[in-house]
Amino acid sequence: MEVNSSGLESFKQVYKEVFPVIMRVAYHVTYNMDASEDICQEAFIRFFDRGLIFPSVDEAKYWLIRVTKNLSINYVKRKGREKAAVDKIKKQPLPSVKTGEETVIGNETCELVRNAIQQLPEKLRAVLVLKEYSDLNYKEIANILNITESNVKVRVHRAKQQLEKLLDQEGIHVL
Amino acid sequence: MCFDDQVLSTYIDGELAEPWKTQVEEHLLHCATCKSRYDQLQDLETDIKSARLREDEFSVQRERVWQYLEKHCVSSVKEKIIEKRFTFKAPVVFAAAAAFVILFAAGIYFTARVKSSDIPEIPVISSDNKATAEKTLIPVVATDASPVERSMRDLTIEEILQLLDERGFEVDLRLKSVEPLKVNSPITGSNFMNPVPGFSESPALEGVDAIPVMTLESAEPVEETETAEAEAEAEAEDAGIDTEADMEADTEQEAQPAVPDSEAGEVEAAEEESVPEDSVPSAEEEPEASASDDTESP
Repeated sequence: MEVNSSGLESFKQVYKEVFPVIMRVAYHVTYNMDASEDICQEAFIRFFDRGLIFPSVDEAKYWLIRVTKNLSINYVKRKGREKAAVDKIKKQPLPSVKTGEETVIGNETCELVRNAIQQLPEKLRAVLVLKEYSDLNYKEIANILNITESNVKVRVHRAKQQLEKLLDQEGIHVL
Repeated sequence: MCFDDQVLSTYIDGELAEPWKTQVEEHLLHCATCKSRYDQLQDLETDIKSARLREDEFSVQRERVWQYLEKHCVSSVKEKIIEKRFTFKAPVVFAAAAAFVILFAAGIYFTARVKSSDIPEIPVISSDNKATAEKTLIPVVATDASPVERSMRDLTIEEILQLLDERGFEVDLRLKSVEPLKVNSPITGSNFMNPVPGFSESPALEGVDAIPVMTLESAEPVEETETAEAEAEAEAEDAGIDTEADMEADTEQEAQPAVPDSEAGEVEAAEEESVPEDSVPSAEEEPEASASDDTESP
């Protein structure tokens, strides 16, 4: 089914299907609910304003994910720069990792994992988030990030390795 | 020969191709070391999945963003439709334009008539027509036969302009339409250009009729161009927004639609080469190579 991003019906349909996906992408990259909301809104506004034609809902989804991922990464970078600038002025050591993070009700493991993902470098984080929280396969991720499938495979694995180390430090796997 | 983490990870992701997939499954049945590592990775997978943002955590945002979009995007489509319908009501604009032109023309005639007594070089002598000229707005025209009898109607536009200019009027005359006037007798020829009445062959009355017609026809397109300008401005505004958005997109390395070879992709590729911290050269392909080596042996 062809999707016109400015068509009322298809816009509604895409929003219904894709919002949860891009919300997860934005959240797991930024770990900030308010920022994620703004990013998703911005992504959908661009989607609507461009008046693009997609051959399928999936293609529209890939486009939205790509925009959301870029907006989210930019947000993280900007935040990082701002934080660095503030810290430089204050001449104080970096506060704990939890700063800026939304405290979400849930079990301890959930929080620890979210915390650990925040510490991953952006590139690994983006791939891992797309793999684990967007229900996409290697091929789709490769398409979205414009990298090869084997590159996706390697990055996902490397992200998991780092995550494992971080979680071990937190004592999650000491059973 | 045991499998390395990369293969197990790919297997857990459900992305391992068939010849190796079965081999891994069989291997896990009798290799305790690999089974233990597999379990660890599976646990990690479960942990990661447990951190997934749940539907109920963002239901508020979902609703709020939709409300915003409905207000700002979806409703704008409806507005656009209404706007389009509105533009079809152009006759109203033309009617207003016509009314304006008539008022303007009447104004000129009125002022000209009032001042006509002050014009020394144009004596209005005609005995019959003089009475009518005073009663009505339209001064009666002298015939060509009597060269001395001239009224305002016999003046060329040049003369009228000159007179108005002398009286301190600032006159702005614009003719937009190039279409020829639909007048039987040409007023442009002898009568219009040459003020000597004896020269003109046609009765001046026809020329008189033609003048207001000309004003009307020429003035309407002027109105049209004004609306056209407004539209052009609106378009320019749209374009401005677009370019802004594009610039933003450039700076934010936003992805382009559909086709994967986008700016985002280029940036991605560039980053790939420039960031050395997490990618040791040749390490990228190594696991794959070892994977295929390993799987061939058992």
